[in-house]
Amino acid sequence: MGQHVLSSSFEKFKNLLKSKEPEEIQETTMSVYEKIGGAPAVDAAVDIFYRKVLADDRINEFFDTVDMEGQHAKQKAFLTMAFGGPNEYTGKDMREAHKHMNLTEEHFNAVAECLVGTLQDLNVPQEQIDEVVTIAVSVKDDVLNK
Amino acid sequence: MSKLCFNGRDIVTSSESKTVLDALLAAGEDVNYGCKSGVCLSCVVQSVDGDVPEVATKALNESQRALNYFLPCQCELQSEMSIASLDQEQLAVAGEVVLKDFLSPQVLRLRLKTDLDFRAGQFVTLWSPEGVGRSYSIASIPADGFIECHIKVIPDGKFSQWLAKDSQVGDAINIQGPMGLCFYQGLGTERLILASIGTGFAPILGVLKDALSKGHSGNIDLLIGAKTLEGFYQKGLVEALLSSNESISVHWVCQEESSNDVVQSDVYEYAKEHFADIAGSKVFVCGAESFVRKLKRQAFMAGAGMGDIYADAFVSS
Repeated sequence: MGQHVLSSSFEKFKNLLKSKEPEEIQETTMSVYEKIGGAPAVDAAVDIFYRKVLADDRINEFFDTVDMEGQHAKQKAFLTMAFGGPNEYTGKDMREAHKHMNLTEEHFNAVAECLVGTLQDLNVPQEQIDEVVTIAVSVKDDVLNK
Repeated sequence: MSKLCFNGRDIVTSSESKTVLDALLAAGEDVNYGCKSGVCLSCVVQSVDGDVPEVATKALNESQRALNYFLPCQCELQSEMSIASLDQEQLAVAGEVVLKDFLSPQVLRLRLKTDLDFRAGQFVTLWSPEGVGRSYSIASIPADGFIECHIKVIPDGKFSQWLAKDSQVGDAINIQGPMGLCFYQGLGTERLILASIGTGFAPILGVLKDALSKGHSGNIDLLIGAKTLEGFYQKGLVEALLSSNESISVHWVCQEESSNDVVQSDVYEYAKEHFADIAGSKVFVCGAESFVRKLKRQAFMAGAGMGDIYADAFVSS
């Protein structure tokens, strides 16, 4: 189901782009981070997101660590970035951090599904979920070391 | 011009540095940092004197704020500030042994009179005259006027053997600290779940006494685990607390045996079953490292917020 949700988000996002006139796009330059509600939204999302990845057998081995606070902080940084909030991550950082993990498309998709599921739990409008997915997908090649 | 003092030394600041972190880095100080965006929390330091704007503490939890921690990357230079790094060696103070008795054949209770400023549930390092230092958690509250520690006496333990055999009431013991973020910060109405095994009960007792002294009115669950019945060294202490507090439920869980009020069960299975949905609760988990790790994860998965889980993991020296 998660996979389905993710691809339908994508479809909608593409349609959204097609249907928008240039001036309408102008109106929506406010970042999705601001639209979702900024730092408090990240705070609300991070516990839900971290719980989802820990419960997901496809990826929890990468997240299950003694240092839960440290991992939690990393999730928060990731969500802030995915929401288009303030961050100084570069493609190089992303590449470096994930280089030795031998990650596959399946891993990436699992994380993206957790992300979409989290936003749905928080009743974030589909349009904004699509924007977040677009940001997440933009770092995919770096994460998968392609 | 801003005046900035770091670990007791004055730092030369330039007008080009906007944040405290910038100023420290420009002055060549060896400080940790990461995202510079207030997210990764790598750069956290402690304010000793001077006001810190709210934005610099937004990402921290209540315990960290209570100890005046803040993020220098999010803090604009103020006109006058004194700050310290967290790894700074704390000076030891002298404490006087005012009580030493055995709560069970394996667990010694030590009370030290000291004017150290602490919070129940934090830990201190105690030093023997031979220079052997061991860390113990605090089971008392400041109003008690002493620091109480529950010390497991280990057959070949350098510190605990000295304490059990040689130390006496009236002796001076050097105390370093306090350290740790495992202390009561409640609003007073939420449910508290306090879980321990072994002498992990000491910080739990501190947190419990602190909560009660601050008028905590929410329900309190006390989960106490042990391998054998003999391991429940704290029965007398708990019964004394229960007689005057109806809001406390105690769960005695023993791995190998059972008795009238003790359930025989695996403590993790028991917790999973009895604390399946604990969203909104504050959870304290203290004891051996593996116990803390497992229960912390379980508590989080059962709905407790990451910021509402406080832990004190014991490691053996």
